Amino acid sequence: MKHFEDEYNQYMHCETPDFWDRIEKALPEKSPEQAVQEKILEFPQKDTYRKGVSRRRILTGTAAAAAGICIILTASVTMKIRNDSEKSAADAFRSSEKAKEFEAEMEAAAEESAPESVYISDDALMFAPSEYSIDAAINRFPYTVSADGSAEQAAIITETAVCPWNPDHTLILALITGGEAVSDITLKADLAGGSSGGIRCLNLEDPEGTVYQTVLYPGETKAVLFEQEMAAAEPASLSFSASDHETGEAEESSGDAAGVQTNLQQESRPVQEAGDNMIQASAACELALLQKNEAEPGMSGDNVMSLLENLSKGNEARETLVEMAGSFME
Amino acid sequence: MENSRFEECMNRIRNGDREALKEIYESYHEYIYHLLLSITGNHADAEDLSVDFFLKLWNSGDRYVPGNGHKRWITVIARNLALDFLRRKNREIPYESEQLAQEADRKTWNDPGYDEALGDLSVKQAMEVLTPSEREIVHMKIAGDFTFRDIADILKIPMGTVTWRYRQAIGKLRRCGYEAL
Repeated sequence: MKHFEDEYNQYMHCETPDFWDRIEKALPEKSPEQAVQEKILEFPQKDTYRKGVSRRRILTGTAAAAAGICIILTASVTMKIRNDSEKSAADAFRSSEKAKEFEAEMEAAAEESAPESVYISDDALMFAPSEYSIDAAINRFPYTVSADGSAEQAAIITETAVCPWNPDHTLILALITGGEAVSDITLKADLAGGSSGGIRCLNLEDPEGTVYQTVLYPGETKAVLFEQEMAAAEPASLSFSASDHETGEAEESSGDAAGVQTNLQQESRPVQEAGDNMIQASAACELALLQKNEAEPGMSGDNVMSLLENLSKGNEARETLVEMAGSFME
Repeated sequence: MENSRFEECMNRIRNGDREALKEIYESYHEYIYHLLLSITGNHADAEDLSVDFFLKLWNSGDRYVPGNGHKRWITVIARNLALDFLRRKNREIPYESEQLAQEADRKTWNDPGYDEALGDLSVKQAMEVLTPSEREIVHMKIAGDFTFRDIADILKIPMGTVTWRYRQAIGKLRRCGYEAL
């Protein structure tokens, strides 16, 4: 038998084209002054960031924050005003302090003339969030959402994807579809176990606070993006609250890892008015929890199939199945 | 290339020294090209992305933070380039190509003659027997000299999955006439 390692190294050596000429032709001139002009500012240290990324830096923090806010606001589907009462609620929201803050920050972002921000990490090239349009970011997710608005009940779909500007993080997309008018929707991101560390919402300054508050009309879909550290084994939990439009009361709760089965059941049930509707981040996060709960009662083969069915996409279900098989073989 | 040498090259790149980039190119262009080839499965795309990779190094020399292992850093950059490229091209391609490969894989390797040797295949032919994810892991293990833990971190998948896929790959390579790694 041949020794694969030796043969492979030889194969690499022989089968690699020389493309240095192409690189050299495309290399832009670089003056030493260029590097000096780039001022690198320390990224503010926060308790919510884990130790491993404490040296993260950002070139122009203000621009990043403003751009992030701008991005998410762009993602929000324009609210449709269906009747007078709804219109007044929407107007009330628009005239609220939060809406005014958003508007002010959007204007600031538009006026911002500083160079694009660039994340810098210990061990990976970072792309600035502002280098990605919201469409590009959301389209990283292979989700499918019914666009006909025929759903009778409000529902939430979550997806995860590797964060393009920070490989140590994952993006969680929460899609909220409206089957009936609900208002004061509150989304919160939280780590399993109640700790909120490590979660960053792209569209808000406060990583632990309210993500999105608005009115959701039937047939509408709204998207919210979260950025979450990958390091924690526990999956992210998102809690979702909605109150009746007329009462305008909303209750919030931080999610905890109640288990895959429970969360999936909750995901497909109608939104409870003035109640908590916890959902669970899908794919890799669910898988981690599935493995964790594998030996525990109630995690039968049927439940595994239920999980796969609920993932609802062939590719993702297949990937999950392969991942599971790999882990179970261990 | 040693970490200290790589850092020195990156410092020189910041000052516009093309020879420093050439030095990194000489050390890593084979590794990067074949990593990108394992992901894209296409020689032309792998070459284009390799060029993009070195241009990115040139343009982002100031973003490198020393002290954490440059090989992992360049691997993550190259992978991100490839994945972004595939998503731009058609975001379903990576999944589908992997799915098709695994489908074919399952049919082939569940055959009654599973244990039969495929014969004396070339390395290129043997690598084509592997699924894209297996190719990537084998490449990172052999050419990148990464630990399974490192590979799991880079690929963002459980280490158990990495070792399982690696074992699958070894089994297939044995059938192709190559001794275990």
